[in-house]
Amino acid sequence: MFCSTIIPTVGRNTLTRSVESVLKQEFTAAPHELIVVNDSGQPLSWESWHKDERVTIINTQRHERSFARNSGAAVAHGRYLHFLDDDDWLAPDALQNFWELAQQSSAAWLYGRSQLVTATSEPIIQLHHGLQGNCFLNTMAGEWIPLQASLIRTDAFFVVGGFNPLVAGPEDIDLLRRITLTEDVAEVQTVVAYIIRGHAWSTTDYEGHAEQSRWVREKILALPHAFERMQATADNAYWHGRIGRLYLTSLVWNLRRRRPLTAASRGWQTLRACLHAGRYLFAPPFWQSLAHAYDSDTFQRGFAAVGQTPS
Amino acid sequence: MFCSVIIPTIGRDTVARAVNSALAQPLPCEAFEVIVVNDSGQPLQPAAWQQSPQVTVITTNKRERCVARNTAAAVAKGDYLYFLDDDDWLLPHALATFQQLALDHPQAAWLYGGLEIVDQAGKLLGEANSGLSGNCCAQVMGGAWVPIQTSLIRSDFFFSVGGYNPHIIGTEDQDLCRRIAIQGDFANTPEVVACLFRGEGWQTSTIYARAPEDTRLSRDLVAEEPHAFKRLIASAATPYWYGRIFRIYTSLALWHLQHKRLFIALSRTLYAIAIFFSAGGGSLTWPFWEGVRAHHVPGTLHFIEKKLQETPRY
Repeated sequence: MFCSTIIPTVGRNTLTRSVESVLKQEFTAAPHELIVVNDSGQPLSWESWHKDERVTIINTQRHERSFARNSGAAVAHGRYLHFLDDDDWLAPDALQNFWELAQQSSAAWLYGRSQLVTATSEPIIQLHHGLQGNCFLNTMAGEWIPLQASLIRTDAFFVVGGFNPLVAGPEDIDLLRRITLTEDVAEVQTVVAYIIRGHAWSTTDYEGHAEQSRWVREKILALPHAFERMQATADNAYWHGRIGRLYLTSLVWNLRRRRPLTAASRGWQTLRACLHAGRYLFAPPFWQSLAHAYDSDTFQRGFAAVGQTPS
Repeated sequence: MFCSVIIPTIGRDTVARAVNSALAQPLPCEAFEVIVVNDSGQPLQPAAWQQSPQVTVITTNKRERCVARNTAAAVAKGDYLYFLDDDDWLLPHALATFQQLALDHPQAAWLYGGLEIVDQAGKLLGEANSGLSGNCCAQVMGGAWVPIQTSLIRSDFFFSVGGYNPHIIGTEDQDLCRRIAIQGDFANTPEVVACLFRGEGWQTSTIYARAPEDTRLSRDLVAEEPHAFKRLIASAATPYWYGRIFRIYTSLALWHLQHKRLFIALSRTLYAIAIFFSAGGGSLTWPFWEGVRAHHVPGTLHFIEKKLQETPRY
């Protein structure tokens, strides 16, 4: 089976739109399945798609999306996993485009462009991330690929242990970083998913987002080969500076939490990053990058393409 | 609902005995459910127990027991979770005993009782019950055995530690026990609640070759937890247990040193020194050094199986 789409739901009435976007895919090359994980704690109201033989419904007991998604992944049969939210939907040719990409690429994380829309489905911008191959440094710096527009190789998902259930909010970024530590990504140049933008519509807890994001990044920095994987793609002064900043901010974070030895270890890695930078150490972009937080231009490019400025 | 009994299976014939031992518990139907997770990758052989309204069968796709158990826990409705292997079984009064224990100790995160180890004829080969209660952090970190087959885990504690860690295979039960011991207290009953099968034809799906490395990883993750050290010291009531946790930290320091993680090795060494001095005069007594010297804690499966190997059984 090519792909298992997993939709965790809290019982929103947009679920049927998400489900039908999967079941009505223009894709016949290989079988695919849909697993709906009902984490609402209530039975789902009956819909005709419940009868579809490609659909499996699991009822979890309000354990949040990471547990729900991991449960969906555990029962999945697909070679790739696709995690869709219950308020977003797939483009009709998304799986066909992913299939063609999968024939050419062995990357563990395949992704396409995503179209951001308003709650009333009005288009806002397209997100085009432009990441290929080893992009661990980009993801550690703060780059993000939406899960809705991604296909993840099942074996790679289970090797990293799936979603971390202790992370709620940046769990998708955490998964992306852990997979890109050892695996590559590949991109298809078409829109594959439609994503509703706006915090009011979201079930994500954005309050603890920044602190959780730091905490999961700390865990990844401690993993073997993280430094080497980042160095492998740092080909200019700016990216060497970003590595230095990652370890420098980690040093400060650990000092504030009274972990002096971990902070000392990060200090040593900062020094290593400077030594690896070599001649770039004397270039202004190195120090600019070291001094400033990462600012992804993905959104700016999307707004520029439609002649707007970000709000 | 009081409890969900979760039985992951790789399709062994003995699963019927395990399920029936749960269904036969003299508790109202609405008090407990049985969730069988078929992780064999094959359909289960049809059996009468599959018709029971108390039974839910989930089919996972050969994802190993941690993922299988976490999946079942996510669908479970019980306030407590009970994990049974498909070749072991519950004794008839087990859930009633646990219900009383839960009433007596509503705050406890982990309830457990005694274990009987039996052969295929039901002959008793050994018994285990470490009898620990309250804050058992130093004891479970130090190697005391609290068998998962005799344990009822409060569901909210299970989810607050993130459930089973799928990276730890073989010693995943002890790992879960250690992480919950950091968060909450234990309550014990002297009643025997479950049977562990070690008879003729017994086979295990556990990869024991991974156990030493997985155990070190598990202990190291626990040592990284905030407040772990305070809770360890608070529960190390005797020089023996101070000796055990001193041993754990020094062995973790050596492990990190072998992997060239010098700063973490230094951190673990400093904690080991702190444990030595926290023990006060106890660190100069024989029990402390006995705790440091011993590879295993008395009453663990290691000693029971060693005794079994020395005694001809058939």
